[in-house]
Amino acid sequence: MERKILVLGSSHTAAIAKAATDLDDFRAAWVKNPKRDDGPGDITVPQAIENAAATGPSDIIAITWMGTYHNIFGLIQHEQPFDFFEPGNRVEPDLTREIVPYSTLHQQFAATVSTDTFTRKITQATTAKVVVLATPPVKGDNDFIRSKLKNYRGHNVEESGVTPAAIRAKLWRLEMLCLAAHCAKSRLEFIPAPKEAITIDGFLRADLYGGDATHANADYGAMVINQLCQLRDQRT
Amino acid sequence: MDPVSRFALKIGPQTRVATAGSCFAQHIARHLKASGFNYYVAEAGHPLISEEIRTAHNYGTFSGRYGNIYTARQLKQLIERAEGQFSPVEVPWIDADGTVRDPFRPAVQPGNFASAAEMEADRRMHLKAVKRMFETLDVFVFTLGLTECWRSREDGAVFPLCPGVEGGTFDPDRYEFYNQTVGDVIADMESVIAYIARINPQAQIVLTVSPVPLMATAAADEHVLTATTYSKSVLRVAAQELTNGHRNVHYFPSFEIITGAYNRGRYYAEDLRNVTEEGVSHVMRLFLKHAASLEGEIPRQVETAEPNRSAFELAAARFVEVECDEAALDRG
Repeated sequence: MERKILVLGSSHTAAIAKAATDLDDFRAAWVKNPKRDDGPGDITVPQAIENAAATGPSDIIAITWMGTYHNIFGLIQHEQPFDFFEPGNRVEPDLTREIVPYSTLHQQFAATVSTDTFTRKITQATTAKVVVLATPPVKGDNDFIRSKLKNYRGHNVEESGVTPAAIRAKLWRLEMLCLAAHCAKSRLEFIPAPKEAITIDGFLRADLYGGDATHANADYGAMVINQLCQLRDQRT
Repeated sequence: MDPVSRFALKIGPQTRVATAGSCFAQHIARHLKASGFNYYVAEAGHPLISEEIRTAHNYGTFSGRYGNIYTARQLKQLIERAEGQFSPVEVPWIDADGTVRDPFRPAVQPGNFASAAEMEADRRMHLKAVKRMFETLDVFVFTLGLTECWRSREDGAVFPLCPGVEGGTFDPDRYEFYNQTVGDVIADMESVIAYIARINPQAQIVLTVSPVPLMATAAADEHVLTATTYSKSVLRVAAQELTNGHRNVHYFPSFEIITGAYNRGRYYAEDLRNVTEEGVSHVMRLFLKHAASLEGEIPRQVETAEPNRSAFELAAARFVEVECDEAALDRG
């Protein structure tokens, strides 16, 4: 029996879709923001739920929905610059910036991740195995980000600046930690970002950059597909 | 009942009012915020963190994130630490899970600090905020809570709680119990008043005494009732002496409003320690009545019970929970 893999989620789905064009049993759909049905994307949330309902117990649905809060929170330099201590990270934060306690930040990110209703709706609609994908690691090249991004969520990037890359990487790791914990609580498997996509400093490899400030390219998408295929093969 | 016969201090909507003290002071802070006065928070937490989480992490509970300050000695030493005049030898307290507490505000960070370095960085920011607060406030409201304290035998640093109750480990060779005398409290507060007069000469000070009785006493051969009477008597006498001695120091009788026999004890909650919302509202109504600079200048009414709440919710509202570190004594 053919075992399908369906990827549903945010704009990060696009890189996976690009890499999956030749795969018959693999489909990736970018789900529109439920508040903006006229916005970018392939399908609406109700359509995503319909697609999920059409899958069976041997199939896999991979969701990439939460995991972008680190950008909302910290891509653009805040007027009150901050940094934080990351447990296990020996590199001391920039003490000239406001130090936000890790447990405070952790609670902020955990609370945000827990607002996810999309994953719950998909899980309720399907008998397939549902897994949650990490979002791609952040890009370490601030010049690249500045060159690709003029405005971000109402901020002029040139005026505000981009948050130092090391802080952005810590925020991404924190969010992935919270996402993984939320998945564990919901009894869903969390698929971390492919190890080979991450540099020794914790950033997305430059050859995997997508054409904008935050997304990865189809080569990264292919790595994720590989992770999902391995998962499917393990279930066979 | 209005026992306030003279209260010279006037507060306008722009007056920066800062608070510190025992857990009863949390009520004052809460009502000042709700009443639309300029409740001054010098350590508000990062604005990217939601207000709900900042509140849960004790940003804004008081004007600085110092937690409950029960004794005059604790306040005096906080100022000395903020001014770099006192560096206690006490090292950070490490919990069994490896997280870290600040011995001088052990319950201020839910989940504790991730490391000693983080705690020290947070403490540096905190002490800077404390200094800024004293330099820039207009009115400082301080609620005297206790005379009993635990202090380091090595350098006299006092802790808000006995080491070992909420972090740390009790060691009788390192820590000792001390019960402040009237002379101690007056001397410590004189030091605080002199400091404020030096760095912020226009600042006014309001003293109150917490009506919340002691939960337990460490005084040898004392019952908690006699220990409470001693403690509150000392604080009340000290507050009077200080008010009499300084034109910029004002006493507000919240202690009398709550403890006065006229109310037949109804301002205490079921546990006979915590103060009901009704009692707090009485205190704050009179405070705002006497302190508001012009009639009608109170920006908005203090909120009371909502009309559509269930009987259960209304009952719950009558006992307003504030975070008293002493509650930790019960958890053991």
